[in-house]
Amino acid sequence: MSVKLYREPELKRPIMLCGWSGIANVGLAAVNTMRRLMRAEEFGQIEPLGYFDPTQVVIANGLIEDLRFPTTRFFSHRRQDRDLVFVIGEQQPEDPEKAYEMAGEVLDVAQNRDLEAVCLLGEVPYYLQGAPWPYPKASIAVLEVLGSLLRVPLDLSGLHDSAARVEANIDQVLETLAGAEELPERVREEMDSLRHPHHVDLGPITEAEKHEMLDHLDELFRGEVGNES
Amino acid sequence: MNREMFHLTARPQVERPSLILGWTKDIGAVSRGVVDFLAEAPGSRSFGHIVPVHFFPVGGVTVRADVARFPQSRLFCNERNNTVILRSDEPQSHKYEFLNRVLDLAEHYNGAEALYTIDGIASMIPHTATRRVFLVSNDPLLQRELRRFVPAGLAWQGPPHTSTYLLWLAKIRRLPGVSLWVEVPFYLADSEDAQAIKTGVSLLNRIFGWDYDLRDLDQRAAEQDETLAQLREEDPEIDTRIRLLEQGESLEQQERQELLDAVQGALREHSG
Repeated sequence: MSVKLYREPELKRPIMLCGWSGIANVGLAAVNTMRRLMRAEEFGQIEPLGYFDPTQVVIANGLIEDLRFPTTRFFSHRRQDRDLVFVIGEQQPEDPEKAYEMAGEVLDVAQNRDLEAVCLLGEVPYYLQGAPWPYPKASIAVLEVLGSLLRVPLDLSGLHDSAARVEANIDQVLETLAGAEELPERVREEMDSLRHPHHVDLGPITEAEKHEMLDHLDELFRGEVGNES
Repeated sequence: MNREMFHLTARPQVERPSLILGWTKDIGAVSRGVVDFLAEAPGSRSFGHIVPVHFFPVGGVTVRADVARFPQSRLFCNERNNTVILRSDEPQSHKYEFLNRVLDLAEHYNGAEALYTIDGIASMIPHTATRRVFLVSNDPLLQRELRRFVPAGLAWQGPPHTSTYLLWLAKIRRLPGVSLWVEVPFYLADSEDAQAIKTGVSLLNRIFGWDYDLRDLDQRAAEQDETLAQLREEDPEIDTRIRLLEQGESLEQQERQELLDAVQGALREHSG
């Protein structure tokens, strides 16, 4: 288990953005989309042996040609002010000890352990957390925040298209379930409330609230709070 | 070799041995059947086990036929044949560490000559067909060497078996190895296929030039054939479906499942 760097990019006060697979792959899709849109260049990876079991083998004519593992790759992107490092993890280690070790390896690449850090969590409806599809709406929400904070214009049309497809899929599943004959009453009531939600109008976020939230996060990303990543 | 990872009760007199590994659970119980045969063969003796901590869940224990069954990875050697045999449960966690432990063992005896695993592979063949064996290797030279014994190479793309993962790690550590995959009729996959076990042992006999007496395996295979012939007589449905397979026809998913259930049920009844 080690980090393999293909090159050492010279980076200016970089901000590291990490996305791993998880509930509805919100983080993975968000960070990977941003990485792709910014055409960030790959510069290394964490060796998967020991962290993950292989997911696929290619055997041809009796010889093992390849064994594929989930990847954890590093990308960099240079900008005028602060550069960006992306960490894209296709899977998280199942063993907590190994997850701890992997986090350590990521921080070794960051070359700093005294960092200010923030975790952005994209909200996913509770009944979709185990669904076998991603939830791009949440990734979009995360990217809107990131794009605004980092002052990066992001074309999220691709994610919006995916979100529309996923929404249609969800609607179809809910319709099918609603039509099921044997459904406990409590589940049916819950289903109805999901299909016909009663929106509570909390009112718009005020300018003062918006500024307060953004300033707080902005400080962190600009490195004004403490150490640089 | 880290001695804390092994519990050894003897020091086998082997030099660059062949390491043969079999799992206790596999398709048609081929892996288990072959290593059981080798472990009980004349000249074989137990010399320890791999310490199982970390590799198996400790949430409970299985009791079968009044015997508590604990995870095990037992080591045997046969000095006459210069072989080390590992009969093991498949690790449930920390697979990478477990497989490297196996390779540590292989390296310990001045580097094993080669690594062999043997497993069953479910196939759409009738039990009356000859069991073919497919080879998967991590080394072209060893593959060429063994081609006269096993002409068929496997082609596969998908999730890897633990044996394949082991071969890959062995390749990284420059240890040549092969997995031998013996065909098992799909309806015998959940029970023991004595014919496939016999095919596996007989193949190793030829590869290594051993002269093990296979009469016991012949008898078990004959008994299996007899039981299945009796089933065909008793149940025309089973007979029809097996006959279709014998004619090279394929079965629908539901027919396959029904044949499997019928044969498994009948075999259970027969053994009970």
